[in-house]
Amino acid sequence: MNTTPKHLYRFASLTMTALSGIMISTSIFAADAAPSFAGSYQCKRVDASNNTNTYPLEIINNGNTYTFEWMDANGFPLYYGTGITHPTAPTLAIASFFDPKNPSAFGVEFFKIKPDNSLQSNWVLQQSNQVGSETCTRSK
Amino acid sequence: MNAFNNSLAGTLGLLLISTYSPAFATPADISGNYQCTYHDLGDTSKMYTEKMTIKKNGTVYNVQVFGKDAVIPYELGTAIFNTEVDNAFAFVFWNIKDSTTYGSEIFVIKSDGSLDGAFSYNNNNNKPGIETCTKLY
Repeated sequence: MNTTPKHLYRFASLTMTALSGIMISTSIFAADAAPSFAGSYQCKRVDASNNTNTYPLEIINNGNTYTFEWMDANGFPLYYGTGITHPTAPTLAIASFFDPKNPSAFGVEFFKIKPDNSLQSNWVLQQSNQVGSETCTRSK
Repeated sequence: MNAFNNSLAGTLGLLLISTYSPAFATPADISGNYQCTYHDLGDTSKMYTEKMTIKKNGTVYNVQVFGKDAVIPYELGTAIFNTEVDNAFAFVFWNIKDSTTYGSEIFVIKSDGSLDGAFSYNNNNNKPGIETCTKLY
């Protein structure tokens, strides 16, 4: 005869549920760690006025930093940037960027590196309170 | 069967919570004064201190960076969050007397409100650095 109270079964069931939830949560977090970052991307850039442009972006690993090159359709640079990933949050990256035709126009872009190697970012120019966005899909 | 259903429902509930909670939440208000220490990457022999003031300005934050005992900032900055990241922010900073010297920095916000940062200067591969800041109350 089983004399174990039903509420103990329920407690055990909920405990297992919680543990499985923690394991799933942990595995999601682990899967989010340190995907590759340098490479070629196709990006859609949207400014605060909702003007949209598409650009190829090349991210080059230089050892301590990354170089960012946004190109126009003819392969000429639209923006250059220098950036890093955060040492303890490697799915987060930043770049300070500037327009080579107008070097006084510079800003920062804040990237989230997604598990599928795509990028989601927001950017702002210095001394501006208008925030733009950008999404990039890796092309190779 | 009921226990299985309860377990499955609970698991799915926890899965939804664990998936949802890290992103898209309201970012912390980072406004305030911070005491910071930084050094260049790989050179902890030279530690520097500075104070940083952050003020909200609509959808961005304005940043002022002061040297020790200074009352006028030597760097200014503009900070933003990523819309999918609520525990970190980035800012562009520039020298107040020479705006050709600029860079960017990313801070992860820790649970006690302190900041764990990394920075680099534009067009310079040799000077990324590390910075930590404590919020002053």
